[in-house]
Amino acid sequence: MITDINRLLTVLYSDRKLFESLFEKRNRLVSFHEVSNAIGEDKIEYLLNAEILSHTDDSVELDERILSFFEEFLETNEDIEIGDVDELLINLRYNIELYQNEKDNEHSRERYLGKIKRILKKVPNLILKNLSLLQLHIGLTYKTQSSHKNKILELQHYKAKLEKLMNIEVKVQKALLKESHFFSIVSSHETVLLSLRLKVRLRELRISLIELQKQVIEYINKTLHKQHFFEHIIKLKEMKSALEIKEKSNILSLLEMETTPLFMSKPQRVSTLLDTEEVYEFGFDEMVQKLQHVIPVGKSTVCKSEALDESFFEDDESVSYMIDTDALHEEFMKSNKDLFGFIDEKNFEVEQSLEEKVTLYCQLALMYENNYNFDETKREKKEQYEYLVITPKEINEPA
Amino acid sequence: MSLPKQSKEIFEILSRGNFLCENSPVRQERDLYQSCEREFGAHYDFFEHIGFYLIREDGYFYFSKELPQSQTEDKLHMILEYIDLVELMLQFSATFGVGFRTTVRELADAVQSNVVLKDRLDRLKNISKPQTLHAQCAKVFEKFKKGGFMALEDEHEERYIVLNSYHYIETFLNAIKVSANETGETL
Repeated sequence: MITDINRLLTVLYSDRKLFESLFEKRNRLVSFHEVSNAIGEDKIEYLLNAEILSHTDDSVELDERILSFFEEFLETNEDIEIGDVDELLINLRYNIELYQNEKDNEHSRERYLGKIKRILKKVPNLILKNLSLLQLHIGLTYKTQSSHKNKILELQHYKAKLEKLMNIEVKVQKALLKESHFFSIVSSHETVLLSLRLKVRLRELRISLIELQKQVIEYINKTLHKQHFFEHIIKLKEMKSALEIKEKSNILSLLEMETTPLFMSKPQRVSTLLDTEEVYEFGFDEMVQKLQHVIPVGKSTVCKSEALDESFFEDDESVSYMIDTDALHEEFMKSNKDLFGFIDEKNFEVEQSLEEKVTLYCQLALMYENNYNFDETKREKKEQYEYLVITPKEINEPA
Repeated sequence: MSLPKQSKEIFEILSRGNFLCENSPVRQERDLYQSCEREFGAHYDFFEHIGFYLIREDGYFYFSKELPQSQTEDKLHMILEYIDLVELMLQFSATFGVGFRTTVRELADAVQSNVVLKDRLDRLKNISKPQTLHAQCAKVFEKFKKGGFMALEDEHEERYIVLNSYHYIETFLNAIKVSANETGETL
């Protein structure tokens, strides 16, 4: 065991790498083997005897006092230690009493006063440290703890700690009130100032503590609500899977509403590729002009027919005279005439011009070629036309 | 009657079955929400004349309308689908609720390492079609988005936020009471 500060500092300094490493690994087990590899068994033995290291089973760790000192000084301890504040109040009361009892020895009085001043400085710092730690833990738990049950458990744990801290704050207030006599007669200006500052500080802390308490209660309620909701949803899902939800719940009556929210019955909308909103938003004209060059447009050519004769649109019925060529042919076959002479002399219902008669002659000659005799040697003349004498074959044909 | 400002824009959004949420990532929608908040009475009267009821809830607005009861079956289908979707998201994160933010990738990662989630996802209707897991997860978010309960906050990251309107689904599902003999078995 080391009782000399000089010796302690030397030991800590000479193996500072080991202590640094052990401090960093304070939240997990470091094996005896691992440490002995680094500094050797003899050294471990010495440090264990000096109570700087301690070991349980197969693991080695920093002695609790060293560890607490490091943690407290570096403010790395994440545990909330409310007991410390309580302890300080007991010390405050104790030192005040000592100070009051010591009436003659000025030196001793100074010593007690020094301790009182230290406590007065320490109290708000400790409360603040615990408050900020609680705030951090509560926020983290609420945001990151994924299990509802653990979240509620942790939040309730912090809530209890917070209430304890609030209690401490009240106790400090009371203690200050109780010792007001001491502070009014104490000669040290510094002590009086400290006690006044402490009072102001405590008021600020109380506001923050109440805020945090509200928050943690809200978090707990929200989490409880969420947990219930989650359990409820799981139940609903089970019923849905078993196709029982309609029968075993009030879902259908809930859906019978006087008015229906529109999102529940979204209207069927005709979907087109052309969203009118986009047309206005993104400069439709530009888009079309760009695409005009990209997409080949097949030009469709339309043939125009000639303009219709106006008579086509006249409502009056028009009658046209048609010559029945078959009947004419039959008649011609029975006559003893030549074809043109026959047509020329024939009394048509409608008077035929010479040109029309020539056309008719040609038509019949072509159509009934096989029934007629074409005499290449006989030609007749009618006005400006010279025509071949065509006579019927068969019986009328001269032998 | 003087026409409240922005009635046209509000009508265009709400009449399509969408919501106006206070926590929408779209600035225009937040502005319209504020307009509804400021001139609720005037907006309500105006829309009531054309057969729409402007409903004000905690942090969101929507339209309600008198519709034939024959649509109950459609509504039922919609609610049942949300039971599956909400359960999936709660299995994914216990903190799922209004204001919750997450990305498609985070859901996909969680599904990959959790068979329960994978099973839930595969059983969802119309979700199992896409080929990749990422596409499947993206579809879940699209469903919420289409319903008006989520909004895309960051396109690049594919990050979505749960809108205030999700409160409606939560309230509705909470209001479903399981008949007495059924609860008796579970307690």
